[in-house]
Amino acid sequence: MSKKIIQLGPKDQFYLDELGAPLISGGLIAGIVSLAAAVGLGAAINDGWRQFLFSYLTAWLLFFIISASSLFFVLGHHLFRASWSVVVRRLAEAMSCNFIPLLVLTIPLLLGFHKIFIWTHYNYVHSDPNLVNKTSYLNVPFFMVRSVIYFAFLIGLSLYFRSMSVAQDQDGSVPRMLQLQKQAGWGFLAVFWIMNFAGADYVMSLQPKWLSYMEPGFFFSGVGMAVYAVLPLVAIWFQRKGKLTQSITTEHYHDLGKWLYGWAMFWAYIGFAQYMLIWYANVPKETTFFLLRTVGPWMIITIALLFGHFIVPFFGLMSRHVKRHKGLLAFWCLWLLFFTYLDIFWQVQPIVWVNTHAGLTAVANNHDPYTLLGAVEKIVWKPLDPMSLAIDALCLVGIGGLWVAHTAYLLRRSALMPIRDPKLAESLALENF
Amino acid sequence: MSTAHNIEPVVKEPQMYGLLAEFHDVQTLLDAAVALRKAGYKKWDCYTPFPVHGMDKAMGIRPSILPWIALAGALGGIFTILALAPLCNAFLYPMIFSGKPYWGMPGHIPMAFALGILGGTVFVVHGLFVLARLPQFYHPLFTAERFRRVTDDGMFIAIEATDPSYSPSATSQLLTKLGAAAVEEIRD
Repeated sequence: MSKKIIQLGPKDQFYLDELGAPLISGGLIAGIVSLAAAVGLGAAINDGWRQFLFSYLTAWLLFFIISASSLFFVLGHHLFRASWSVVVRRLAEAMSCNFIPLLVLTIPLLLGFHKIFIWTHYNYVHSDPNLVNKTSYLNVPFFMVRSVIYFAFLIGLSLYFRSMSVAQDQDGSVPRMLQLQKQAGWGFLAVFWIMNFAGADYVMSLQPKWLSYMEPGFFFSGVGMAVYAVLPLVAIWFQRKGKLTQSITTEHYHDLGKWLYGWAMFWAYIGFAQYMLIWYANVPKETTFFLLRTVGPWMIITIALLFGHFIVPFFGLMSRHVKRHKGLLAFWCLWLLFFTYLDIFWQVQPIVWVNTHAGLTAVANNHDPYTLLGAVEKIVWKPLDPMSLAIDALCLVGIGGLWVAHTAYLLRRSALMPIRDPKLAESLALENF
Repeated sequence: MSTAHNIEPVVKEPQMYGLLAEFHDVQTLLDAAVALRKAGYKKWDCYTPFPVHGMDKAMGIRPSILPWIALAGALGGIFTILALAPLCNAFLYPMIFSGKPYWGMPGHIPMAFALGILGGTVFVVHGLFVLARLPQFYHPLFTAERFRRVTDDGMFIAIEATDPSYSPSATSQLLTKLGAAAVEEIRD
């Protein structure tokens, strides 16, 4: 029909080649040095590793979310038999296969498990009948069994989908694609539920007295978005380095931008739904979450999230011209990636000091609401000390560096694009109306 | 009453509407569209049974203002509620609902969201009708027998006679040169 023939021109580079080594070594060095520095600062604060553990958990969760998000993207691609996303799928596949390093990186969290999760304290749990009722779910053996199940499925699914796709580079087999499409159905649902439960286990259980049915979904809205903030950045960076310059076009960026916009709005929808239900019902076991996040400096972060994750990008990223402009799209990807981190930070860090002995006695001895608020305000400031923020940044660079190194290691072992995917030609010829 | 018999039947003199050119493949059509745009034609359009990739660029069609109309409708809906709800609940007829403040903003957001969607959709549908000049029950091109195939396999370009660059012979020759399988004059 059309005379325009799409060619995989010899000019396009499908292999990481010379970029691989610096990414791997740079990532490893940055990761190890930063983590070592974070450990050093954590020891220097002399708070019994409390701030370090929570900073580490925040950074770990960000990369856990990005990896799960990539897996969800790959599974969704196969489930919906999408063809537009073929050219960026291999990048997502590599990012999704980071669960083994992430599992290894849980060692500090396991060592500090008792410190992070207050529900592991017998006395604390038995001070509240509600918590005693929750122990059938919130107990260490069952928590570990659940985590093992999550990681077994996440690792299995990500490795399976990537290895099949890499094998397809050799034979271009259509049955392979059909097989992946068949398996994507249950895999998609599995990852959805796993990430919902992970949200309940890894974030909501930090405040075990708190109850919100929206929180797992709120956590999942971050999972949905993260990959669309990272993929365009990776693709733009590769293209600036001369990789895939002919294959990924404005049309693909436009589609990735649409998804980024949609998921950012979904985050706002779920976040507001959670807030409004809690505000309306006004039940103490639910409102504690927002009490902590509306006192002192956390109110500023709450408002910053409302504007930075919703209102500003709602107008900034709305236009198709923005999504089709590489520089502007990269800006909004970075912006939303930062606010994804801030979102996790906001969910995790206000409670660093609340559940400590000092925090609990400060709260317990203040029965007057105003002095109680004053006591809470003193505690919730602490995670925003310059020292604490430095540990946050070092943990972020540390886990991020290792994550980048492992992703680059995987990317180096195959082409950067599924070069013999049956739907590749369709993806290369993508055009938005 | 008697004068009714004296009225002469008005016979409208057929006016020249323009030229209709038929094409047989998409690429020729696209090339012809580019050539016509470069030749400076303004009042012309392409008619195809299916959407053609790259046609907007070939014809030089600028983006529609419809998104802005939709945005205006949506923002109008949102701010209507954000103003109306506090006006009623907090000022004109203050009432306490489940212990919430008179001006309880979170409770108004779902309404604002709903009216934002309503405003956006109503404006986009009506805006589309206005911009596309719908509903339109008659068009001069309907008089052409071959134009019926536009809903099946016919691809056409029609140039209106009111176009400043239009000349019956030169335009017809240009269309033939651009690969038109047939060129027909349309009278209305």
